[in-house]
Amino acid sequence: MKAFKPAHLLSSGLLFYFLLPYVIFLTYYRFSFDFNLAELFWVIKNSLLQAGLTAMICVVLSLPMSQGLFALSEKWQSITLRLLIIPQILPALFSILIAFSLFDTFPMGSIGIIILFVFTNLGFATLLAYSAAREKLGALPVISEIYSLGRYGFFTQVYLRVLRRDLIANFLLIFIFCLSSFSIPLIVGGGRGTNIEVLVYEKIFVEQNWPAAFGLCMVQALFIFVISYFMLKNRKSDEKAEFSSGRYLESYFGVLLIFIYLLLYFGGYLVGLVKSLSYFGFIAEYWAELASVTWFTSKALVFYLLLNFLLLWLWLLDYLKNLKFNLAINMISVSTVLIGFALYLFFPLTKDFDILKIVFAMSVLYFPGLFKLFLQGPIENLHRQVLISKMYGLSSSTIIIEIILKQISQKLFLWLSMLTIWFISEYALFKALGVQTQTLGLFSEGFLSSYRLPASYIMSFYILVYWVAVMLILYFSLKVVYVAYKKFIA
Amino acid sequence: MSHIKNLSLKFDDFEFRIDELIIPEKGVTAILGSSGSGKTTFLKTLIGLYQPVDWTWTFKGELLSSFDIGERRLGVVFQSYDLFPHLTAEENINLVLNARHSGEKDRLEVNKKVKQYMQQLNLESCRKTVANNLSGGEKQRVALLRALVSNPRILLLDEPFTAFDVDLRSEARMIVKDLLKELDIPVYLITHDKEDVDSLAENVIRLKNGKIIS
Repeated sequence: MKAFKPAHLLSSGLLFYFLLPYVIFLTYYRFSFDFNLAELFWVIKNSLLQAGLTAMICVVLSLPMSQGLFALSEKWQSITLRLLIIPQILPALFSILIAFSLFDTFPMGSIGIIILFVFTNLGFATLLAYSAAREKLGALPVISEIYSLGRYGFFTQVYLRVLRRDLIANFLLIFIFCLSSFSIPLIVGGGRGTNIEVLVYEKIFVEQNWPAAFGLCMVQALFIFVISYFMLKNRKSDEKAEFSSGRYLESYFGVLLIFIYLLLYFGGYLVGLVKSLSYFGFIAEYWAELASVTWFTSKALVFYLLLNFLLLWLWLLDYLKNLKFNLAINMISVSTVLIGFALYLFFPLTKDFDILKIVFAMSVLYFPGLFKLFLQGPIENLHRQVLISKMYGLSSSTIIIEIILKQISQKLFLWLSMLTIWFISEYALFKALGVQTQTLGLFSEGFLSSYRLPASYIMSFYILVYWVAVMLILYFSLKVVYVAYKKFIA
Repeated sequence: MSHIKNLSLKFDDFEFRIDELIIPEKGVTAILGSSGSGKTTFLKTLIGLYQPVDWTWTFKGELLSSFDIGERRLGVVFQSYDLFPHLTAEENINLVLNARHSGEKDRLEVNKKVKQYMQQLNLESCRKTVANNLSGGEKQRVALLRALVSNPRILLLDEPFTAFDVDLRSEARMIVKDLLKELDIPVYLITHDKEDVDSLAENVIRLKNGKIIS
């Protein structure tokens, strides 16, 4: 008889945790074919059009923009890269606000969605194209210059050929992000730009047609699975080469594009915020409500961060046992609405369960993706150290604290800050959860949906200030906890 | 003695097979082979990274092949030394020392030994230096000392001199040789370099194309 292994229990337990909303949904689900095929094709067309055009525009613009990065000095490259990623990692609320203030009348529907998707993902696409060029081109830019290939020759014969698979992968990655997006289409989609996620939301909460909602979720999941499968396949077996830039890879037109993009984003936000300051008195009318919303959000945030720490600890224990990450790491870009609705069905619709619902749903939705984005790479880089530690019999807690967390402390803090900002400004998932209590994200979205843009701007700024304050508190708390650990436990 | 039986591993284009192998219980045994001979596969299997089916590895009556990586209690010095880069030389050693020696008395005794080895290996001046800033020679000696304080059943040295310039290699070999003389544990030296074998090994096992040839 095979011995019982707690490691297997931990691995399957973790996987089950992230699959639980789907299990819940299936227990409530009764199959019936109740599709309006015309409607189904219409939303699929909308979704593909929105995601496809966005991905295309982003990838095309990312070529000159990434070459613009190479025209900058190392120091400016590093600063600009950090700025370019901000629109992607800040919640959708900020992009929506900025886009609304850039247009007198914002075009609702698919065009509006595409504008916002491009606005949110362009910096990220540039970063991907830049990284791919650094990893794959090696000394080819210089060699092409030595042999006088010419800028056009280099671009068509070398750059595009070497990076073709990466650019396709970038296209698909952005395509997936947009396909499963809910926050942006919910606000700016209107009646004409409905995508799959929004239709699922409507099927559940407006028409109460659960089988159709589930069917739509499956269609979307299938799309994402097929694309992810091909994307991962494309990304294998590439080797890193020593990189040397060259004039052919540098574009001043790209610098101009980067400048315009960053100016629109950051300048747009600042202008919108300054214009809104005169409405500060308006917010003062909501002072008592804001205080109670902040208090509730803070309580939920504490539980959320604690749960994420616990999940991280278990996740790393699982990694130490198996020397590979849990299968659930692949659960990125899952359906916001499906998770929200499963828990909406499962928990009683009273305020008492709001924190539990929010904390659980957010962790299922974002833990794997954020772990993959910020922590997977740095931890994989420590693989040999982990191996050595295991070989020398170091305890799991020593390996996790002294070898892993200590060396990735900056990334860990970045991960925490992303968990925090995404949590405090989330609104779409909370709507799908049927949350009864107001959170900071829902409060801001309430102003936005009722076209009180200045009030929403001030709330977004309040969220930023709150975020910085939370991160300062977290920073010092973690220092104290580590010192206490060293003194009393280690 | 160390007794390996029925070790078989298949990869896409490579097969590693040892039907039976006996390695002496003391002294330095070199596992010699060129690139692609299966040295790394053999090392990874001994450490516990590969888990072949139905193989056995017994050492002093213990079935090491059934043990987990940590339970095998091996000391390893890899080619790249693999120190914890953010810790000092002393912290690298103490971390392993504390993990492998639980009692206070035991630790004090090992600590005495560490001090002695530190002097012998000329490491005292770099005790407080972060591993990242150590020279190649210092890294190797710290890795060796870390392996020794781990109270290993067997010490595995994986191409320990490859990272050195040719003119520094013989000096490094002498330092390691002097230290190994004092040890009462078997040492498996995995190498492609005949000079390593000539200067350190008492027994030699030759590998070629995934099989033992002598």
